[in-house]
Amino acid sequence: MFEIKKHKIISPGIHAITSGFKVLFNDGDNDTIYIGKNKFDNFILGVIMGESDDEEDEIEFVRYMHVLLTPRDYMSFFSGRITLLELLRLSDFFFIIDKNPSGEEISSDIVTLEDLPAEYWPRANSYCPDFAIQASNLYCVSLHGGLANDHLSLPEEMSLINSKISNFISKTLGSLTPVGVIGRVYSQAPLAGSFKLNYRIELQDSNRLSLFYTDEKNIYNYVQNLLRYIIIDLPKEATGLLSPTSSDTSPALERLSGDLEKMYIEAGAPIKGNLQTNVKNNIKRSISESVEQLSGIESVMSFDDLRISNITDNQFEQPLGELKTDYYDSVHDKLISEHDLKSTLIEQDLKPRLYNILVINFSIDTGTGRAIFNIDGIDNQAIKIRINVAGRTSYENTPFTESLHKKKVISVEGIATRHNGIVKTISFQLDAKALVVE
Amino acid sequence: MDDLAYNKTAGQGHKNDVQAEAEADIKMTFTNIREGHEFNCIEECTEDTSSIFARRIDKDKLKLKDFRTYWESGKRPPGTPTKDSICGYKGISISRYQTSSERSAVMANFMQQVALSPAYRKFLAEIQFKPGCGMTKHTPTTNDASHHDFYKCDSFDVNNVTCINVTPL
Repeated sequence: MFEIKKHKIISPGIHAITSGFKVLFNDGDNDTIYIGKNKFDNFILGVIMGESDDEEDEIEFVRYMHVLLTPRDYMSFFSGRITLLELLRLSDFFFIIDKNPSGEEISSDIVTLEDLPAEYWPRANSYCPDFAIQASNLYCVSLHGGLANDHLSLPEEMSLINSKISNFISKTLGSLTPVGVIGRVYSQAPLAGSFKLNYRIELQDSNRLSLFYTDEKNIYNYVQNLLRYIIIDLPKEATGLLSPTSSDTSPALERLSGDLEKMYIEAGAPIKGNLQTNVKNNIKRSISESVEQLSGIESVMSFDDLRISNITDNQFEQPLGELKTDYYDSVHDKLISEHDLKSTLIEQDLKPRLYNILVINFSIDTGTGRAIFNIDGIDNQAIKIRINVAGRTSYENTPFTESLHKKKVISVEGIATRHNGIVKTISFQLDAKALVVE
Repeated sequence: MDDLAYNKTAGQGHKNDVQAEAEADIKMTFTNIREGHEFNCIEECTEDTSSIFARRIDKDKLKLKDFRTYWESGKRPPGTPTKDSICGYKGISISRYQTSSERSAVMANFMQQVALSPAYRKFLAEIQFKPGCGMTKHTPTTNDASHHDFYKCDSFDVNNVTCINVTPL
């Protein structure tokens, strides 16, 4: 057999970013963290190391390290699971790039971590800075392993995944209801040529006031952190932590609670009892409801895991983590049971309150129908609800039929039943005062 | 008013004649800022000589190079020039804080950067500007609400800056 020469060959340009260059943070003078791909489509992470010294160096330059990342390294670093120092320790080599003050490369070298003086080593806490990445309302899910590696998927599985992930993201918004925020998650057309599912959260202000007090940026950051908690932290949390009666906590849960508590306070959320307990219970409920949406995902056969990313404001795909198909089974015993979720959520008004409704469907025989609630934004949500009217044998010529026929909003006293804080049904007694709004 | 020259009352409304006379000697010109483009970067700026500003520097002593702008380094904004992009390159980035909680937020931001790049600008200078050396504008970014641009006047010198503290990061 022929002999292979043992020389070191590094392909010219392997260190250089040729596509997808994105600056994650610029400190006003220099790009300090950036990402991109080289000509071989490898991810490259660039981090500033220092600047030339006027007294020691003849020419002026800015020095960077360029680290080649595997897709898994990329996900680990940007989801906060691995530090830059750990990345360098895991890498056989990386590159040092010197650039002139106007940003053009003037030299490049291949090095190992041991080649660097200790003062240039990233510190033990060199995680990707959270300020470098501002969460947005866009999420992207890619499928990996199995058929997905060949850019194929079974249509019925794809449909199932699409619906489950949409609900999974949507349920994380539940804990924001007291802030006055309700939201919907839309599937968004993927980019041509990509095998990814995209989702967009659209927020609505349920009482038309609260978004004024709650910065959307904080909401998106919170949702992202909650999703990251579910994907990364929940599998490591102790069983029983999410129980509504448990006072146990964890650092990750505390961070989430702190963020949500701040939003509750800013928005003047209508909380009964202890604020911190309410916040924690709402988060626990939201986590459990969200994860429940993934039930059945283990039955899909055409891929091995889902990788969820947030598309940041600067169009950077920030990975949150991966969900393996056995994820649901691995965390199921940590969730609030379905029974507890349902039984503790139903609340009813203690006495009749005035509600604005527009009746859209009504039976004069049974007194039941449907209505749109909160046309004038007086109470909680502009949603379809059920109405039950009692007190007569026929409900003809009542405010409800008038609302139906004249498409008129009526203001009537009734008792609302809420599920998870959301009005589902309002019951009316026709003996009670019923006033048609002029 | 000449858009290249501002006295220290700019942006502060009318002052009485005595004050105006007393301050007339501190007149700043911004020919260097104005040069090479069509935008008025000094518009909406104020002279802030009371706040504390922070900037990362490479040595334990302030020098003129610490106040060099992107533009002076030879960099130019990519794409079609806009007022924001041009003026961003003409100004110097500084973080302002007025309360201890604002200072903590700024420091937390810096320390996250330091963890990745410990040898890059490893000192933090806390400074105040003396009258007549330049103007500042609040230019918050998505990740730094305290961010300001400082526009040096033509006669700017490092001696125009009071260095309150230089701390290793």
